[in-house]
Amino acid sequence: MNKWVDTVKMKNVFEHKELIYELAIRDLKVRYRKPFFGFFWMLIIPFFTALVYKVLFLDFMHISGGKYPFFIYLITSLLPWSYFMTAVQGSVGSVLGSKNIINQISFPKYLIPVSTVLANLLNFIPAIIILLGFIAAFNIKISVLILFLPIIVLMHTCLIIGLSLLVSALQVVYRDVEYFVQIIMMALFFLTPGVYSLEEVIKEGSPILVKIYMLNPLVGFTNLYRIVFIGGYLNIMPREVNVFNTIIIPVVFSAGILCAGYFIFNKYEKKFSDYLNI
Amino acid sequence: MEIIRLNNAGRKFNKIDKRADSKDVLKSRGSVFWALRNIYMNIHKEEIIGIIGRNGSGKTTLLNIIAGSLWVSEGEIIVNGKVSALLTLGAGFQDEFTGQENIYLNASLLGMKREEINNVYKDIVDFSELGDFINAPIGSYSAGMKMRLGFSIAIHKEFDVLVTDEIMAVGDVSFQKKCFEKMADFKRQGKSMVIATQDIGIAERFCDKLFLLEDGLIAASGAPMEVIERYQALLSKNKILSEGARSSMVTETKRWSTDMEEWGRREGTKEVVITDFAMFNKSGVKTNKIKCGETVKARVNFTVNEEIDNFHFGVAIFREDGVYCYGPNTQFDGLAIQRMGKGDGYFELECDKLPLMPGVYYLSAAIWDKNEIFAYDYYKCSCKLEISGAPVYGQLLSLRSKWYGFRMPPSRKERCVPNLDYLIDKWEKHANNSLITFEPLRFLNNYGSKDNIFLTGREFKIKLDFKIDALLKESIKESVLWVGIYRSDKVYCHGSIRKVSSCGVNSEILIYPKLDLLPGGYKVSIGIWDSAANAFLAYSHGAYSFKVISDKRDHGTVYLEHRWNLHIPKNPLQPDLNNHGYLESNFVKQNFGGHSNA
Repeated sequence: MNKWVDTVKMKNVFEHKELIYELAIRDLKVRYRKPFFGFFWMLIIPFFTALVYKVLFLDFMHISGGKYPFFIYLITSLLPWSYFMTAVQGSVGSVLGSKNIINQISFPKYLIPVSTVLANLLNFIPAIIILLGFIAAFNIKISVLILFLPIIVLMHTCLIIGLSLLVSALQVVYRDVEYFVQIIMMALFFLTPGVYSLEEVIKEGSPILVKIYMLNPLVGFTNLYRIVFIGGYLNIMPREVNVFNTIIIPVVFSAGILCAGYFIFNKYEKKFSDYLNI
Repeated sequence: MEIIRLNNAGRKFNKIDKRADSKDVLKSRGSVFWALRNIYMNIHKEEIIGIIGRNGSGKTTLLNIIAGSLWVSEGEIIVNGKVSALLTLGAGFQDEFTGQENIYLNASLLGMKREEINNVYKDIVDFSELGDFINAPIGSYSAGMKMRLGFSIAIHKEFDVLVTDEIMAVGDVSFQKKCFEKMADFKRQGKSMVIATQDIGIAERFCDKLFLLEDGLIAASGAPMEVIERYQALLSKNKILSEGARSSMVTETKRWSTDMEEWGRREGTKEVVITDFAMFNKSGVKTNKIKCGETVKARVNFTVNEEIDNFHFGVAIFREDGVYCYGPNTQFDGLAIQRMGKGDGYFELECDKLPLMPGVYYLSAAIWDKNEIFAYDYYKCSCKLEISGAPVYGQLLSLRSKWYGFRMPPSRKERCVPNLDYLIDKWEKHANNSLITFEPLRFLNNYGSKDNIFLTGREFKIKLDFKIDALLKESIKESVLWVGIYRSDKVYCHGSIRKVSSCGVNSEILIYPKLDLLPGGYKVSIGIWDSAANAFLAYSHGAYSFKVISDKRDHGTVYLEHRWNLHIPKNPLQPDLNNHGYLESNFVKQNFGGHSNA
């Protein structure tokens, strides 16, 4: 129908890799150029958060993380979580905030949320390296499973891109999305075993609730990250953690959200020009 | 080769009423506004398309669709090539980034690859004239600097079609000139362009084809002249010639040479000296004699002894009896030339098909200061021009005119030219024959309504109704109807004759598609000439008057189509405009480009 819409299709996402990169770098530069510590803030925040939780839960409340140091236990889930959260929340308003370029330059608009995600990914990677340093410092064995890390990050990124496309497009038309996302994020944070141990939930919760709890794909992602980061974690996993809720659900869910995001974005993209300026 | 095709393209916007807000949004049931509809358009290679129309007629929406930043709601657009847009300069500039970073960001947004940007980076910086500021944050730039940078980036993208919205020129005068040169460059390179503009002059000079948009529909398309006429008609539907507008128009011009005794003399302050002033015919031979209707070129060579600014060139043509025919100068024609440095240069005035009638004419040439207070050098009527050809009843010029309806013109044998000596001393007198009754003449403007004030360059019609009694059946066989336009000071400008067809009630319309007369008062005479009797059967001499006004100043009686060729020694202080050290400008002026903005 419209030739321009064709060019916007994501099949040529790699054709635009330079533009995505340029936009992501713009995001990072805008964020970190002025502060004195610049890029380091992105590394300091999750580690400091982990430290706070560690002090709170372990030293004050004596909630333990089981066999492994609680700090490592926390940080392995908090880092991916902060990647997830900042990327999704950052992209909610990304299309709306770039209306000056969206209305006036013809380029594939989906690149804006995608580049926001990429910027956060570029933040995430150095954090992973520091995390590996901590793991080594705590004398924890790094198993060969670490080789699966890129695949997990990729899968996670697909999920985030899907969600970003979804919320950034919807936000243009329905400005309530932003607050909705905040609430969901808060709920999800406490529904994933990030700051408490999974074993506790399984031990204390009723079997049906645990079953439902385990269906949360983010639980699966948290487990996956822990499995690859902490050598030997796989062997002490509770019985309830199985292939279905750790691998199949996250994969299917990520793919599903990516497709949904793609279609919703394409559908709403046409309405942008009606809504961007009001 | 077709680059872009729009096929029944349309674009609607949802009107979102803030009062009914969120509910409507949820149901997405806002009322619909069609900004553009039923657009069929082909853009070929090497074609310059102009889009004109009033504010809110859909120009910008159309450009955005062509540029690809808006999609179509119905129909289709097919693009086979790269489109570059100069719609919003520097969209997405980040204030905290340096000029350099913004070049990379903005150029990537425009679709350039990193390697391409590296290749043109230096050109972009050079063109923008930003120099070392390129490494400063763009937030510290002035608005003009940002525009310059945005423009420079946008034009360095490879493209087949350039889409631009009245921002062909940004920044100061010298940068604007550069922008315009660049546009002309693109035209020479055979790039296609789509230009939306309010400037009818640009639309006419620059474009190959125009589209007139009105309320989102194409109201007219085709050759620039015709479309512009339609546009003007559209504008004046809302009474363009209101009383206020008329009062601000030029109503008078200089019509006579005031100093005939000084003809042949020369004066001036001599900062610039005219070294040669001569006429050339169409084959470039220096001559003082041409045939009526031939191309003629006046060339003036000069030497600049001291740098000057604020000057203009002028040429004037007088008939030997002192009637001021036409006196174009570069200032009236809107050619702004700022300064010139020392050296030799020339200017040429070229007229295709000079419509002056046979006779002897004298030409003046001058280089004036800005306000025409003093001349740097002024040759007063020192160049004689003889126009040869069969004299046609002493009129000044041949205006383009036609009669409504076809009728065999009088054959050569029976061509009966009224002997106007007959009318000497009969100014403003009538001679009515009881057998011939003239109804009062009616002057009609281009909308067909009756008026007696007309704009230079617009259509002008004279409607004549008269009744001839059947008793004159024999004598009208050798009679012609004659209509003559005189200046109010009795200088005969133009006459037309028409064979009288039959007895009874006659109705004739004489049409001047473009009235080339300059502002002032004019009179019209009519008569029926019987060549057998060598007398007017009836006449009414200088009885009807009309006025011509214009929005442009000019000297003389008639507008002659002309063209300036300038070759000016450059000012050493100014940046190099080209490598030859000269500013070459070829300003093509046709058919009242400047008269149309009213």
